[in-house]
Amino acid sequence: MVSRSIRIKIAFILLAVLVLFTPFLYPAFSCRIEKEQLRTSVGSPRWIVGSEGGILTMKITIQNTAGCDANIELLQFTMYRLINPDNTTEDVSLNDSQAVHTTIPAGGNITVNFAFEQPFKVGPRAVLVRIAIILQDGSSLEVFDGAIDTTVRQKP
Amino acid sequence: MNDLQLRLWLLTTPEKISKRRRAGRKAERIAEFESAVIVGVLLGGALGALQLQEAIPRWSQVPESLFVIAHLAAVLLVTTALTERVRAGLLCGVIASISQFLTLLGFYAHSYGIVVSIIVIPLQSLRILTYPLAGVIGGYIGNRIAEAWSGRSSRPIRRVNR
Repeated sequence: MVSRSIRIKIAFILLAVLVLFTPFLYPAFSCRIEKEQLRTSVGSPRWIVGSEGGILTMKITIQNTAGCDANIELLQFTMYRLINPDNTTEDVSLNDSQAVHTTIPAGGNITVNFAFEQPFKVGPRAVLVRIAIILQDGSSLEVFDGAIDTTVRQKP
Repeated sequence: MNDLQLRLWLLTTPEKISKRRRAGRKAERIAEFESAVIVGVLLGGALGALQLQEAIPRWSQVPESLFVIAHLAAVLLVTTALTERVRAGLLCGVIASISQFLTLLGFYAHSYGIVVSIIVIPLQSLRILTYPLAGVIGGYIGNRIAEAWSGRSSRPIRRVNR
């Protein structure tokens, strides 16, 4: 039979272990950002033609509609189909990423200039892309999957 | 037993008993200090290992103050449970601080080199400075609890010369 004092000592030690692991439970109870809460739009797509071909530049605007700050680490950009000016398509698998290291406050937004650095000899009319945001906690949220029309002219 | 022997017995026996008691208390105190050192080493090692987990990105959104509070509370609770003297609690806290510091130093020195570890560790291990205080408080509470259970007082009885 365990004495009362030993039982209370064991209770104290178990409580200490519980207290030690409490911070690790924090993410489960804290605010989690879902991909729908990071509204992403792509604007001003433009081909910049150089000696080795054209690169695609654009402005990516991310609006944080979650109730907590979003700590963004990286933007991952995957181009999976090219639509050429003659309407032929070409499946590709081109990846690029850009470090952002920024915090979007709850309800705030940021605009990131993004340049897809893999050059094209002939610029496609449109591209199909996926954009994923890597948060500081390592989670990945796919926030955009669609076409970017590269022929849209910017309004003066 | 004649009168002289009886007088001698009455004079010497309480002294012998008191010596034995003192020796017993001393041994008890040494045993408690030894266990405080062992507990401190284990506690500091465990806290150091847990602190290394904080660097994982998954836990990056957890406020650091929460980890500090949890570590302090753990030192307090463990010293309350396993020590019954303020000095033993203090010793446990100090040893836990040193053990955690050495755990972090060993890990960073092994992973990134001794120079980086010397630069990084002082910034990462400020919390260990508070462990001795937590140990003192834990030892005091442990002492009070032990007194309450046993009904004894740890305070020495003062002789009053009349």
